[in-house]
Amino acid sequence: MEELIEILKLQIIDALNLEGMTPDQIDNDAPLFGEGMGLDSIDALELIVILDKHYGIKLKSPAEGKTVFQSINCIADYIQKNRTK
Amino acid sequence: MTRIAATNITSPLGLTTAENYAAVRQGKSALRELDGCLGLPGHFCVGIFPDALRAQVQLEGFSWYESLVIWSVKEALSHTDIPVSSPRTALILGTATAGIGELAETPEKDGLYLAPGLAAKKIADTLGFVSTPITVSNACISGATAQMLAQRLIAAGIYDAAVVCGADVLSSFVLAGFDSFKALSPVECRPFDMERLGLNIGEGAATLILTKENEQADDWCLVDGCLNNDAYHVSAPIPSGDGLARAIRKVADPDRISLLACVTAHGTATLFNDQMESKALASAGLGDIPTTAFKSHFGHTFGASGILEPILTMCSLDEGKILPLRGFEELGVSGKISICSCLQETDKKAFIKTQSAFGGCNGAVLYQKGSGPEAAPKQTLYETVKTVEIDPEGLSVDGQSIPLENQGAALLPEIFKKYLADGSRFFKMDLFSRLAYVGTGLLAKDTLEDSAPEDRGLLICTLNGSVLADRKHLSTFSEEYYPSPAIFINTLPNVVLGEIAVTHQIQGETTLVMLPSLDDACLETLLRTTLAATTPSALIAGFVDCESENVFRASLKLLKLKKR
Repeated sequence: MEELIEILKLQIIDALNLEGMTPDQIDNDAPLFGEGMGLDSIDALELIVILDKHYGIKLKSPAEGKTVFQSINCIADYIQKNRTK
Repeated sequence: MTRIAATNITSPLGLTTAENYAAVRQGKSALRELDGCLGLPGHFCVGIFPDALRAQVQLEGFSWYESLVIWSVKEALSHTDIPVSSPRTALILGTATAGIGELAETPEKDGLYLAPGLAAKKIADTLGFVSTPITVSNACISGATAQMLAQRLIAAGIYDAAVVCGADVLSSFVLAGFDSFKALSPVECRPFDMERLGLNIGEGAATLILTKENEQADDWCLVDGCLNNDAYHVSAPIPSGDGLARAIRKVADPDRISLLACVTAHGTATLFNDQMESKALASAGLGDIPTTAFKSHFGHTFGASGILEPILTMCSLDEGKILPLRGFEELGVSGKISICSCLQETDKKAFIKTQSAFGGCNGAVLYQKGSGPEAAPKQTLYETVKTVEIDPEGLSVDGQSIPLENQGAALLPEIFKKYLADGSRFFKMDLFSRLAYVGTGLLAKDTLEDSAPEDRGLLICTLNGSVLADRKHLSTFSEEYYPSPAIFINTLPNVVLGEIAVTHQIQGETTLVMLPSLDDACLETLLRTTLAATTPSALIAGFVDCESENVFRASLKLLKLKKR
């Protein structure tokens, strides 16, 4: 799980162009949207691409992602249960 | 007030205005469901030209976009005696993506793909125009922007006539991009309906030939229009609809509202657009005016839609009819509006066309049949209060070179961190956007407090636009299919105007123009007509262009209204 979280964070930093950010600066339980990391609607769509591209998980809409994308821990948990690659 | 002397619509439903109107009147739609489209995996519903019809329009040695524009303009011109070869006849194009689809087929520079400004020059030369063609690229409101620009150039006496053509073509490039935004409906779109699932992408061209008003003629006229920015987010409209409502109020006071037969809405059938638009229409006092839309006949034709849809409305009002919104059953938006669900009779001869786009821009245009009073051009004086020049060698402000550590593309993050660092999406931007963002940022920072947000404007001219982002977007779906919304958004060159507008709360007009060269005289003309027509208290304007990572230039200035 820890390895997955580390890789996931690197994938997010890369895809979302989080300039100057390192994995240890992202709190596993902090909210990703709104306060916390302050990601926006385009970032949410980009997270859908990460799930599809690296883990073979297809989400249809950002609405479906709402519960999944609450925090790094939530995403990692969802990946572990649903990944197809 | 500008007279509409002739029109053309070229779409999958026909090659003339008459053919298109007849098809729409019969309830026909260009939309087709396809498994796999233009080499992309998946199921799409698109408005696409049938092969036989396309073959009639396609010219050898020209891209599909160029062919469509040439056909549409030629057909419209055949109804008038406007002298194309006069230096006083303008060619103004409106397009979101121009011939971008060709880029996939021509990865290197020597294919059919041309930057939109150069494609416009090729089109102008082929048709015999001698004036410099101007291409407006304001995403989905390009059509409205092109018309407003034409009206201003005629009102200012710079041209006697303007041929305005809006066009966009279906391509894997655009389809993959909107797919990554999860914005596409897999079935025929249903604007404003409870069951709407998103938009369909279409293609086509539409042309208006505009001339000075002729008081003898009982023709349709472009009366007035307003363009603005809601300064909320680059890819999402402000949920309240405040930006669009503000544009509508500017063109429709209660006297004018009483003349309206209908509203032809943008109605893309995305959840967000239609909801926002309903709020805007209701709050601007148009809730009781019959409202229709045409996207369920053609899909979203982007640059063409703002011209194609008003032309169809003119045809229907000429017949004394308001056409029903195809596919509409039950209102699925919260703004109280009156969707036209069955054919209605009217004897009124005026309507409003609304549009909204990525980049935060909104437009409302009023059309009316018959003549009316001419608005007197405003006399205003402006002064340049600050200038910024950036190229790979360095930065200068007000002619003074500013010492920096880096050169080339690395200059831009350095300038950003040193002078702006405002929590924007800077590091997600492509080079063109970064350059525009830091250039305008240096001008806007701490200088706009004395102007109200709605009195601030932005005008950027470019040659190469977002070509670097365009090539990057291609790489996200040409081998494996994982198109990225963050990369695609940068391929619309006007999106950076939205970024700038959000940061500096620029809520007036924001326009991106693509030219065949970075021509100072052309910029000056655009600048003068924009200032005279919109009288902002502050305007940031100039060139921003990136040819490659190592060749770029921003030359921008801040103008302010001179206090008397």
